[in-house]
Amino acid sequence: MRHSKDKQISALLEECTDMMMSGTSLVACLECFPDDATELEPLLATVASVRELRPVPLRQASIASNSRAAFISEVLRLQEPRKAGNGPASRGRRLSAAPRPATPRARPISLVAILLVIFMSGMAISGSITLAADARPGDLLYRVRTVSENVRIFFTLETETRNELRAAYRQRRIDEARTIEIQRLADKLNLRGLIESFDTAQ
Amino acid sequence: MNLLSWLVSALSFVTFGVFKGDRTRIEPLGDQQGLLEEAIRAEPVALGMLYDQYVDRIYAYIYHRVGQADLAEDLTGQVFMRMLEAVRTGRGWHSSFSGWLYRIAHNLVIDHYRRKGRTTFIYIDDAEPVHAQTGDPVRSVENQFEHDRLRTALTKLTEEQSQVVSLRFLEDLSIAEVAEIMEKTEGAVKALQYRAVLALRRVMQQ
Repeated sequence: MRHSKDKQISALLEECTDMMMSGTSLVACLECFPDDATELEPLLATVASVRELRPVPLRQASIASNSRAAFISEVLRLQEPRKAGNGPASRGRRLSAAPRPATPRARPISLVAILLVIFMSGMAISGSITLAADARPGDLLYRVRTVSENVRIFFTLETETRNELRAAYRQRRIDEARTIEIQRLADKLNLRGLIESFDTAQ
Repeated sequence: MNLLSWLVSALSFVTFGVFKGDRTRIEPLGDQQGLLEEAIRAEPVALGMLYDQYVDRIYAYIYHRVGQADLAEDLTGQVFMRMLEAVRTGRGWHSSFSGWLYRIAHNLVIDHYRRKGRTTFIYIDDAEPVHAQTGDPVRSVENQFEHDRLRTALTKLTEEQSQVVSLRFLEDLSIAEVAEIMEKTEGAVKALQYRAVLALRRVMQQ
C-alpha cells in the first residue's frame, strides 16, 4: 500500500516539477492536486528552495578568455602528428571516421590545390588557343593566335621546320590583310549602293 | 561557341568533382551530427564550436555543485582538457556527447570532494562578498546563509542523488536527458529523484 502511494507521489512530484520548471508557482501546482497536497507540499517546497540556487555568477571575461585560449592552444597541439595504434577503431563507434594518416593534414590540401590550378590553367590555355584558330585581326582572341604561333616557332628545334613555319605564318598575314581589304571594299560598295538607293527613292 | 560551352562545362565538372571529393574540408557541417563527426576527428573549428556551446552549461553545473566561481572555472577547464585527451587517444563519446561531457564534470566534482573532504570551509576573510540584492543587507545575508546551508545539505546526499538534483532542478534538464547522462532508465531516474528530495528534506530538517 505504502509502495503504491510512494509511486503515486513520485509521479506527482515529477509532474509538478515539470510545471514549476515551466514557471508555474508552487501554490498553483498544489491546487492541481488537492487530495495529495499535504504530502506534496514539503517536497515541492524543497524543490523550490533548491531552484533558488540556480542563478550563476557571470564568468569573469578575462578568466573565460584565458580558459578558451588555453583550450584552443591544446587543440592546435592535437594537430601535430599523433601517435598511431592507441585508437579503438575496432570498437565500431557510430561517429568514428577512417583512420587518418600521421602526416600533417595541410600537405594533401595544398597538393590538391596546386594540381588543380595547373590543370585548370592548362585547360584554359588550350581552350583559348583552339578558339583562337579562326580569329582574325581585330578579334579578341587574335592576340592569342599570334602569341601561340610565336611560341610554336620558339619551341621548334629544327631550323628547317622553323623557317617553314615562319613562311607559312607570313603567308597567313598576307592572306588576312587581303581578306580585310576585300571586306573593306565590299563594305564600301554596300554603303554606296545603299546611298544610291536612297537618292533614287527621293 | 559549342567548344566554349564544352570548356566551361568541363571546368565546372572538374571543379565540382575536386571539391566534392575533398574529405579534408575545414569548415564543419551546419548540423550538430556533422559537428560532432568533425570534432571526433579533431577538427579545430569543430572542437572550438563545441567548447563555445557547452562551456557555460558545464560551468553552471559545476558551480552548482561546488559553490565557488574560481574552483568551478578550474574544474571546467579540466573537463574540456579531458575531452581533448579522449579525442586524442580515440576514447571519445559513444552516443550522447552532452551526457558524456556531464559525466566527466560529475566525476571531477566527486574527485574534488574526495580529495578535499565532503564539506569545505573557508576563512571569513576569503569568503565571497554578499551583495544586497533586495536593498536589505540582513535579508541578503540570511538568504546567503540559507543557500550555503542548502549547498552543504546537497553534499550530504549520495553521489547519484546529488547528481539528479543538480541536473533536474538546477540545470532544468528533462527526465530523458538526465537518464541519458546518468545511463539509467527514465523510471529509475524518477525514483531516484523522489528519494533524493526526501533525503534532502530530512537533512535540511536536522
